Amino acid sequence: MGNFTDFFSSGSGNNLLEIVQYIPDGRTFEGASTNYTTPNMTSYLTTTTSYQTMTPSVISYVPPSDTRYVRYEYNTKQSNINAYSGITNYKFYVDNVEVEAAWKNFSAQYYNSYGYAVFPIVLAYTLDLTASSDDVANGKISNWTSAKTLKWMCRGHNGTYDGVDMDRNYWRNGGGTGAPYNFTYPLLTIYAYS
Amino acid sequence: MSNLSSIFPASSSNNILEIIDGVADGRTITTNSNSYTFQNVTSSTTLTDSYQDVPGTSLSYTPPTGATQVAVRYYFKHRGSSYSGILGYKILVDNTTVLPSNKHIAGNYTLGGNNHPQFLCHASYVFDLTASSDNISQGIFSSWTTAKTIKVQARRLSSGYTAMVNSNRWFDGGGASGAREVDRPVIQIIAYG
Repeated sequence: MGNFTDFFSSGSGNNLLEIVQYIPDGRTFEGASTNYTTPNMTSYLTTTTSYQTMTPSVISYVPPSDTRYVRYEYNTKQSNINAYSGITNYKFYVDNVEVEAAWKNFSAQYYNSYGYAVFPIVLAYTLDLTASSDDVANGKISNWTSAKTLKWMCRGHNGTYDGVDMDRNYWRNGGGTGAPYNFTYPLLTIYAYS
Repeated sequence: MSNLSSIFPASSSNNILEIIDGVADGRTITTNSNSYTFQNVTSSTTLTDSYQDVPGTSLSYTPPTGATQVAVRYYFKHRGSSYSGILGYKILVDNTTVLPSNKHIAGNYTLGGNNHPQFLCHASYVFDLTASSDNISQGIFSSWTTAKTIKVQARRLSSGYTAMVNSNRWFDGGGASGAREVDRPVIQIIAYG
């Protein structure tokens, strides 16, 4: 006769509770804690000198029970078409409070014409849910049991370097690209860990 | 009364044993097998002509029992300071370079000043823990049961192509300073069974 645990083994030591991953095409899917409907991206975003919400990055997220860390990773693309070096600033928000520690900017080399730089960027940060009190600016959240809205916002550095297109598909098959193929989907991945 | 399966849940069928994930801000995370403290990056770093540690990337890691592969992934910021800002980087395990992990990143060259390139450095590798003998320079291990230090090193190409890491140059229309100038690496390690 075998041991009891041969038939009912203990749970895996794996600390991954959930992966939520989507492209923003308006799909609906089931997560561990709730159902999600993704944003439906229909055009690319062009930066101005004011912060704008990167709409495809917006998710109202509910971590599974016992989550201690949440990694948010947004794979997108910066197209500096005619924006010189295209200096662009990015801010991460949890329920409209900025996670200041996640702040970053990206840019290409400066050139006064032929603004052709197109390159992928990743906006990633891991939130710490083990804190005893909220310190969102430093990515610490004490009690996350209901939906919180996560998103990135972006802006151009100034009037010289704005006009950067996020996720624009400028060239395709050897020429300029018109709708509906003038943008590509970013990829959002959220990992919840115990 | 609880169901028996609530007390003794079925084993997971996936091949992930654990994931270590964090930001280099001094935080400590705990898994079922260990605790890990990330380095605390508080300033950016100007590179030289020699490889040096990228602050925030060093972690002493012990895979869980049964691990057959370990995947590492680092995101950290490049900032070109002169011309194209050519930067090379590589992953090391216990101070041995994993040769195929070596990469370079740079902006376009310009003679006109305005050295603006700031890109994302993505250092990644998947270590094979099933070999019959170690070949660390190829990321191959026969036995990894005690802590080994994994880290990233970087250098500039030469004094003509200066570069920095962990740095943001601008903030909201002006120059970045203080905490806004610092960009901390984000690290993920996955142990597979």
